[in-house]
Amino acid sequence: MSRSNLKPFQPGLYAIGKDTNEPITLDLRQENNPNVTLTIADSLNVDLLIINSFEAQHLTMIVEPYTRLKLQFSLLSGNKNIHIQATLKEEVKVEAALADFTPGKGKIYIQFDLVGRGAYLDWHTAALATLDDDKSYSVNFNHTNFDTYAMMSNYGVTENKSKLRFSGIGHIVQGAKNSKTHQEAKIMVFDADCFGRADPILRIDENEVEASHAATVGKLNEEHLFYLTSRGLSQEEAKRLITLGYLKPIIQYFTDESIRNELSNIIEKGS
Amino acid sequence: MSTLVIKDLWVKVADTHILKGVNLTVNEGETIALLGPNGHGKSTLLSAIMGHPKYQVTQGSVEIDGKDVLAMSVDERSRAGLFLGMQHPSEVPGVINSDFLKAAINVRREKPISVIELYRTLENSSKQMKIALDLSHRHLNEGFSGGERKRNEILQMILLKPSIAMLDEIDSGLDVDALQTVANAITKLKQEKPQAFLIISHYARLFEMIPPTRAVVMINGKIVIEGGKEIIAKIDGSGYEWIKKEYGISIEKENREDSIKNQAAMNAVSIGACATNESVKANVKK
Repeated sequence: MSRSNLKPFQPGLYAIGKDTNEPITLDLRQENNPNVTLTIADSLNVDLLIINSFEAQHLTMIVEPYTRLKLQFSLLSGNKNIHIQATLKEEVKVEAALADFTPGKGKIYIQFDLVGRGAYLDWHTAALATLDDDKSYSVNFNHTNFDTYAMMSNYGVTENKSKLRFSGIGHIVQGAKNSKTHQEAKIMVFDADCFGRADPILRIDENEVEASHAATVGKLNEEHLFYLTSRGLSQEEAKRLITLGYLKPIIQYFTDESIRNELSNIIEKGS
Repeated sequence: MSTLVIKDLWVKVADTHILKGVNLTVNEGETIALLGPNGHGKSTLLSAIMGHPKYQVTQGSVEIDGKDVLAMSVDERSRAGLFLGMQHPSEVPGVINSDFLKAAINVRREKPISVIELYRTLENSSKQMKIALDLSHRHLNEGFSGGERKRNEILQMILLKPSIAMLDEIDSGLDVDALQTVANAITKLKQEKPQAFLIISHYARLFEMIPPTRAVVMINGKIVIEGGKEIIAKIDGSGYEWIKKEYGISIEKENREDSIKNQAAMNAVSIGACATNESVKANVKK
């Protein structure tokens, strides 16, 4: 399906106002304003692909009530100091994925404010850190209303001399009853000189809630390697398969064929 | 034509020699039952042949068709025709079963297998092993039941068609029907391609389904008896005590020192509030 490119109605200001069957692309590489705001009107069904911004760009998103959003972030260049804040209003449902497989350094800060009752977010990150990359991702959820739900899954692979960090806070404020917040982070550390760290944090100020967090940072296990190589795979091939397993599942959240292919090619040949 | 020749093989784990001079030849077309009491080196032999990094070969040789197996990396051993169906196959989180199988098939082919051919192959082999095809889309062995793992091992064997297949207690944890499925798969494979099997099992039942051409008994890290099927029946009926009398071999007890050391090490580890010392001890005893 063809995608339509979203154009600003004023410098740095974007809006999605009517229901469209066409998926939408917001290519921030075309936008040289440091502050970008995107408003998505209520009761829509939106498929939105955002291609990354330049250094230190701030993206603010407001999603009005009852809208369903398939949100896809693809970071296709090395500049990775990016700040994204999104406000989700009543009964907004968001499925979001961020894929970052290109080399680079930087900090990515993401904050979702679930301000409307019943706001729902399913977040996925997949990141590859290679060479001397230094990447950190801070993904934060603020639950400030009843019945909000957020799930965070962060997967990463670090190799060579790179560094990869996942951090984030799931915060349920007092009064946000029946809210649920979950976090999961997994990092595979391949080489002796690389660094992986995951810090999932929960701040819970309300009793009637559900919350969980889990993190695994692990080296390639000798038994796993023996198992894979005992079937004839070389060490490199075994390593590549494990990388694929960590990163490839993110592709299912991307609807644009060319981005899917591009992501797939990078992981298949990369690492 | 494949032959595996093991000569005077000595293997140690940490500082203890488990194998103390194993001699065994496995010829094409043979099915050998590898018997012996627990802790006398049967699994060590198979793992050492496959090249598990835990086992260190200190003396002796292993050759497949005249080529030095011990000089090969683990993946080279596999490509040379060796296969080890493991007693405890690893869970490999992150690796999708079908991606793994595809890679294992492709290292044996010049042209990579096509998506359709792969699908058909997996569909057929899953059907044959009575495994849900869904399992091929899951992470390798993760969340598989004991029986599913064992059947997945045999499925891999079917796909890779090794010339020498070593199966380490492939029947443990299988119910009667699953055991029959595994036995049928092995029988079918034997009909399709002349190959050799070296099979460890504690149960005569498996050997009734796949009649061995020979039986060998390993005691104290050596093959001490070689003979026909009658040995299986004898061991099944009266254990290993008769070997002591007939052959004058004293059977060393399983190395207790190690398990005592392990227990001491486990008790020394801080185990936090989720587990008590008592429960750890209880598990060790099991």
